[in-house]
Amino acid sequence: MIKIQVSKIFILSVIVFWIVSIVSCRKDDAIGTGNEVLELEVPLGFPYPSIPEDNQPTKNRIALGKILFFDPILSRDSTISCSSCHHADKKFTDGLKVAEGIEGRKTLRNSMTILNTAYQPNMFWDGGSPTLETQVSAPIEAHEEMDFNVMKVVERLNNHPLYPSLFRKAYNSGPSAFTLTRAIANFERTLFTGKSKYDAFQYEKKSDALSASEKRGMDIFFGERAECFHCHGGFNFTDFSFKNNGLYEVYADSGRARITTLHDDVGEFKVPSLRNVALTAPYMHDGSVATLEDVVEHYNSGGKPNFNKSFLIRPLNLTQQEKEDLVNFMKALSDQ
Amino acid sequence: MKSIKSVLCLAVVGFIFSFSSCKKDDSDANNIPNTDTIGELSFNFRQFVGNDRIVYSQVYNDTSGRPFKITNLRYYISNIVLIKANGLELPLSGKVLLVDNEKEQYTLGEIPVGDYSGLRFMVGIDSATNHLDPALYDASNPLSYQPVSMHWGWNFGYIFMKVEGNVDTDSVPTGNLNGIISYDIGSDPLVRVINFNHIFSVHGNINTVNFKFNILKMFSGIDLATESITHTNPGRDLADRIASNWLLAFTIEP
Repeated sequence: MIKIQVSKIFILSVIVFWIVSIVSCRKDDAIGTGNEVLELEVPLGFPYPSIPEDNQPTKNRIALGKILFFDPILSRDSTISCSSCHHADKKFTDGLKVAEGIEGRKTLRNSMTILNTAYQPNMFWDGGSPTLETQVSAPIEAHEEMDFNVMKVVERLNNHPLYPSLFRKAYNSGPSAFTLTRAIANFERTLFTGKSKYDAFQYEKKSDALSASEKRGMDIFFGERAECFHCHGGFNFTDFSFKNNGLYEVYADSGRARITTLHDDVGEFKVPSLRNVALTAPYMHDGSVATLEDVVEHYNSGGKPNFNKSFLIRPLNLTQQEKEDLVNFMKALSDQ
Repeated sequence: MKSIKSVLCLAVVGFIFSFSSCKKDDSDANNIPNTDTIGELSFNFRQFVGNDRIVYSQVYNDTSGRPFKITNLRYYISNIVLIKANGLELPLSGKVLLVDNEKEQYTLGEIPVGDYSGLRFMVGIDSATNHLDPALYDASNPLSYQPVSMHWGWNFGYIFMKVEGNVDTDSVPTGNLNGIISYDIGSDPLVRVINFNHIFSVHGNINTVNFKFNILKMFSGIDLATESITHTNPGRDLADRIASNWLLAFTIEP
């Protein structure tokens, strides 16, 4: 019997050793605190966004991405940062017709908000970059934006007194193209908007959250006469598609066709979210429309003739009151 | 007792196995290449204007007598396939070269010794690789982001060939290089595969195939006065003609 007891103890100790040895094979994946994978706080009524396996959100990664987002170290002459075109106090737009890079260089297009960007199935007005991680290189390397180079940014970050340790803390690895693009995307994926009067009405079921005019505007917005919701529907007020809205007879900027080269895509641009739309003038891909009233007027007119115009863009014959109601509803999409 | 013994035996085996699984796989170290069967092969790429090697800042004339100079010339070579004398094809999977005018020799690594009757390669990057994230490669990999960019962020994919320089754009050239040459050629449909009939053999350490890239042949049918800039899209026509000229511009030198 004693012999059996000894054997049992031996077996037990061997198994314990075995487990310990397997565990010790793993890398230490929680250096200090702040490296636990977080659950993002998504607005009420929103789905949880899909997040790449290699860039799950942690406190350290978000913090690093935030510092990088506001740091002009990314631009060639160290004058502009991501936040120069995506101002936190302008709902992450810049209030300009088209974005401006270093030395006042003008780009072709209006700065889109990056709020709720976690849900974008592709990036930019023309969908030219597939993910939030891959898009980081575009503004860094574009001549009209930061006019710099990903590997040269990485070199700067490696020579910086603070960044190398922040990167190691967040990614267990120093500054590289991988960690740079991951960190900025990690921060951007945490930027949500979804606390408007409309959300209080729709998701919190507060029936008095919207005024009578806003409610009438909502009916027009979601009705089959104005049909706004066909493109600007869903929790983020966009179906993320590319559409030609008849802004021009001939487009100087070919939009989606610049990527696909397809004639059928000429003049098509990403349908933008209408959240905070009252706070993010001017409008359209080139910022050519100054006010929300002008935007409504454009759609009410049916736009200009264009071979590729969406069939949804046609004269609406809205009354003055209906136009006002529609504008009031869109104003109710601003974060409280 | 018997069952306890067998459990004990299993546990001990597992214990040992778990330790050995911690070790890195070092079996490669035992694979010392056999020089009877494995040799080394390099490709040399030299860039020319006609019969003159391209030297940055040197002024050359195109076939119409229009002066130009080149200040930056780089291109991707991929999907290399060597063809053995018996017709068997040997694809060098995953091998990508980023040719830079300032560097001549590109090693392909270990290649089976023997006689070869030809080869082919792609100028550019195939569509399966073209749109992957360059940040996923080590900085030393040609497919990583480069200090002189060979990648588009706005239209996500590689620039297959980059040519930069200056050109005299006057209708009657005066020698004043007043215009810029800027070709960024890329996008999936513009890859070109070039076949070479070339008898060579691989034995020992030094085996080289010398390629000549003649930029005058790439400029064939192109008017540098008016067609000195394209970043491929929009209006892909010029980029398409340039890419098709690659088929003539690359030759093998003896």
